Amino acid sequence: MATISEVMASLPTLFKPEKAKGWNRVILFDLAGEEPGKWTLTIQDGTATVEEGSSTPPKLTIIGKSEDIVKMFTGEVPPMKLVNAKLIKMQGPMMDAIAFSGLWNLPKKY
Amino acid sequence: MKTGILAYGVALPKYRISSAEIWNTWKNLATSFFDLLSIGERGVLGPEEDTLTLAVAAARQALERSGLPLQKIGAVLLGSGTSPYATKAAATVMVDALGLPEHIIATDVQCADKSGSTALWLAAGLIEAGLIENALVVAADTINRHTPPGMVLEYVASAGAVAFVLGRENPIATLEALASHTHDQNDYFRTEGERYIQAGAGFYGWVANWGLLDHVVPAGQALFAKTGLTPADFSKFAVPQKTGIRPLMTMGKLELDMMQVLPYVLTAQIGDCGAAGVPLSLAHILDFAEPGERIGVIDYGAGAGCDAWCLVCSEAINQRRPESGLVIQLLDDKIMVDYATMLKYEQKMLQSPHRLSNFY
Repeated sequence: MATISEVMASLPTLFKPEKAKGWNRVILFDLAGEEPGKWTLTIQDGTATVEEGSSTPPKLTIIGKSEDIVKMFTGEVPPMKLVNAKLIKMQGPMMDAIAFSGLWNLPKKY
Repeated sequence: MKTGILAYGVALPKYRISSAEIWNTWKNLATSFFDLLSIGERGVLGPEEDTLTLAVAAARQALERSGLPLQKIGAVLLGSGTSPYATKAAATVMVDALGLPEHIIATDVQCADKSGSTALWLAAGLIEAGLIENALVVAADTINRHTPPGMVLEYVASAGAVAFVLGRENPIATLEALASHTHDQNDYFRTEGERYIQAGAGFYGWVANWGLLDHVVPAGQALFAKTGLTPADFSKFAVPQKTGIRPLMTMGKLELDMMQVLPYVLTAQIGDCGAAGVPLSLAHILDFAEPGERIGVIDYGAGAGCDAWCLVCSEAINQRRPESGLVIQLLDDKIMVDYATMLKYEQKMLQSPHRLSNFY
C-alpha cells in the first residue's frame, strides 16, 4: 500500500483543474491512524498544491485515518463507502464537501 | 435572439459577520446546521450603505467595463425586493447618480429574489423590440437590513448588487431562451409598512423550501422542453442559494450534475444576497467562462415564481474578461465585524427617528 506522503504528492496529478475554475479553497487533512499528521491542500486558480502541516485556516477539514485516505485516493475503496461508514468525516460547508469529491480522477480498483 | 450581456459589474458589502458570532448572541440554531446548510459568513451593510448605493456601485463598474457612452443607454431597470422607497422608483436616483440621460426609461421591478432576472428579460424585450439599443439592469438587495435580530434567517441574510449592460453589439454572452412559472405561495414576504421579512414556512426543513420546489421544477423543465436541451448541454448553472440546501434540491430535482452547480454556490462565503444572489453566481461563472459555453440560470423569488433561462458565451468574453474586481476577489476582500457593529450598521438599534445618519 502507498504511504500517505506518496498519496499527498500525487494529488496535483489526480486533480481536475477544469472543474475548479474559481473554486479556491484551503483544505486540511487532519489524520490519525498509522501515519498521523496534518496536510494542507490548497486549490488556487485551478492549481492544486500540497504541503505538510497546517498554516492557513481551512475552509474544509477532512478527518480520518491515514490508511483510509490512502485507500480512497488509490481507488481501493469508494469514497462514499468511507464517508457513510464515518471512517472519513468532513467539517465545513456541505456544498464544499460534495464539490470536493468531484475534483478528482480517482482510479477504481473496486 | 441577438441581445446579450455586453458587460457586468458587482458590488458586495465589505463588512462580514460569521455565523458563530451571531450564534454567540442568540444560540437559536443547532450548530450542526451550519455545515449542513453551508452557512459560514454573510455580508453586513456598511454605514450609509443600502440597496441603491450597492446598485450604483455595481452599475458604475458594468458601464465602465462596457465602454459604452452613457447616451447609448436607453433604459435602466432596478430589480429589488428591498428598495429604499415604498413609493417612487429608486431607478430614478440611479439615473442622477450615474449621470444617465434624462430621456431614459427608468423603473423598478419587484419580484423578490428573482427581481434581477425578471428585470433583465424585460429589458431584453425592449431591445429585441427595437425600442432601445442598450439597457442597464441591476439586481440589488439588502436582505440583511430587512431581517429581524433573532430570526434564523439572520445567519444568511446578506446584501449585494450585480449590474448587466445589455445590447446587441458584440455581447460576451447571448441570451437564448426563457421559461417562467408563477403562482402565489407565501414562503417569504413583507406586507405594506413592515420593515422585516416574514418566513411563511420556516427556515429549514422540507416545508421551508416548498415554494422553491413548486416553481423551480416546472420552470426548469419548461426551459428544457422549450429549447430541446438537456442538462448535459449546459456547462454550468447559477441556481437559488439562500442556503446550501437549495442548490442541492434544485440540482437533484432537475437532474443536474453536481459539478455543474456546486462550485458556483457562494452561500458559505457571502450568504443570501436576495435578488443579487443568482446573478452573483452568474457573474462568478462569467469571470471564468469560455466561448461556446452554455450557462443555465434558475432564479427563484420567494412567492414570486421562477425564471429559468440560458445564455451562450461568445468569443468576446475573452476580449472583455475583467482583469480585476472578480467575484472571488470581492469575496476575499472583507472586514469581519461583531454582532453589535452589525446591529448598528444595519440600523437595527432603537434610535431617534430624526437622526440624520449613523454618525449623528
